[in-house]
Amino acid sequence: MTEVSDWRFRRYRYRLIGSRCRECGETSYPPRRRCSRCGGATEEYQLPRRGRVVHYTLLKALPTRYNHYRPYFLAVVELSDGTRVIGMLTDVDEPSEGMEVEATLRKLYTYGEDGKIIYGVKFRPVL
Amino acid sequence: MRPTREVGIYGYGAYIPRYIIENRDIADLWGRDATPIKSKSFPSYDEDTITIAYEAALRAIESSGADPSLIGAVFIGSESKPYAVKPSGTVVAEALGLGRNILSADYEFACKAGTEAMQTVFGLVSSGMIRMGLAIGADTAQGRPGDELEYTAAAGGAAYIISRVEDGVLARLEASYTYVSDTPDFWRRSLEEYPRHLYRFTGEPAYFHHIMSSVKGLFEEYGYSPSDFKYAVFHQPNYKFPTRVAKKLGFTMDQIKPGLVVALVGNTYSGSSLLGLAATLDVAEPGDKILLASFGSGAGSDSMVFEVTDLIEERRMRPPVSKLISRMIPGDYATYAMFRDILRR
Ligand SMILES: [Zn+2]
Repeated sequence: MTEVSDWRFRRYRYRLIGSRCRECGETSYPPRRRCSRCGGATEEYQLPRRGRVVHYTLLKALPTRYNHYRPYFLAVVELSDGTRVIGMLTDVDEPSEGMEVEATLRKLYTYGEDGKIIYGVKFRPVL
Repeated sequence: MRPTREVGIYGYGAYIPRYIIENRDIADLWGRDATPIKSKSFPSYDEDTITIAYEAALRAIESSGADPSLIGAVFIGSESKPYAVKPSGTVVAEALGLGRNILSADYEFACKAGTEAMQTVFGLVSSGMIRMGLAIGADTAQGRPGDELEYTAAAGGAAYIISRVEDGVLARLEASYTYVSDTPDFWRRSLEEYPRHLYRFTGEPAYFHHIMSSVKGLFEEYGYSPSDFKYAVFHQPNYKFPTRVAKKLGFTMDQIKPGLVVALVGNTYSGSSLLGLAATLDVAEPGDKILLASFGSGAGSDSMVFEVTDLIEERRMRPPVSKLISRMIPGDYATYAMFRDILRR
């Protein structure tokens, strides 16, 4: 990623905008042009913000731009409409399977001291 | 000041980061006895003014059910903007999914920037230039390690959706007032990491003079007295100042108590009085009048009178400020120093 390509994808990174298949209704995040199940055409789809942790893992080895932000938990979250997404957890010391979480906006990383701050969706426990 | 067409608060939201540090822990490190408050909030490593503003605004939109497409302005008051040059509001607006035809700017007036944003939106909504607007006060304020301000400088914010009364408000603005003067009590020069302050000006000439002048001015111009109000909220740089200014103006502890969150949360700067107002709206009933008086160093105070309407019941923020506070967990000085970028690896 670069400061430019990061900018191009901000819409999906900020807001959990995924895709839904026009044929079979399959949803995915990040969005896909073609359905992973039936190959049908898709449309943009606003995913719900709430869900629960299905699986998680602690990530320690990360690209240097994440230095300030490691380690962190990466989780598979099942959203309230059944869509499964992969996302970072925040404000969590010890995750658990089934933990109720909601999407929020947090800093993901920065391009050095004078570069862009990249924001995006993370999941934290429901307030 | 009274807008031509009546305006008020359509929805409100607040946010406080999850971590607090006990004042005791800071005092022990620097070998000090007395502390101004019990604890203060601090942001996680991945939070800043933009993410706090987003959380507060999102909660305002979700709790009130406001139509985001009607929001025509996002003004964020803060003294801790993530970028020196690049507006915070455009990030927040895109993350919230607002439209592209919105006014947006970052406001700076030390701790008064949030109410300044509100005053601006009152005018824009009343004039009909926009249908609704977001006024946000949010900060991740820093005090130099060992400085007096390190005990209180905290993180948090609150957001207010302002609309015309006819669109349905949870609190109607009755009147507002403002009072400013060139007073050198506190400042931060460009490119400096930490602010400086002059004790000679901190209390009487700054905080007390400006809040008393704006509240007394409001009372004289519009004929209010303290007994007209169920609640009052004053800017909260510490516990002592708001309780003392309330007493000097003739308000009781009962009137200020619901909004006095500083003892546990700290001074959230531009978020401070707005967070107090949110905590007060959490418990207010239809018909209650609320006085809000901010203070910003440099210096000035905005005061406002709101009357709560029947819509409060359905539009209250979920969860309330008390829940945001009760979920907070203590972090030690090392965690604080790392998250605040005082310590780096
Ligand atoms: Zn399909």
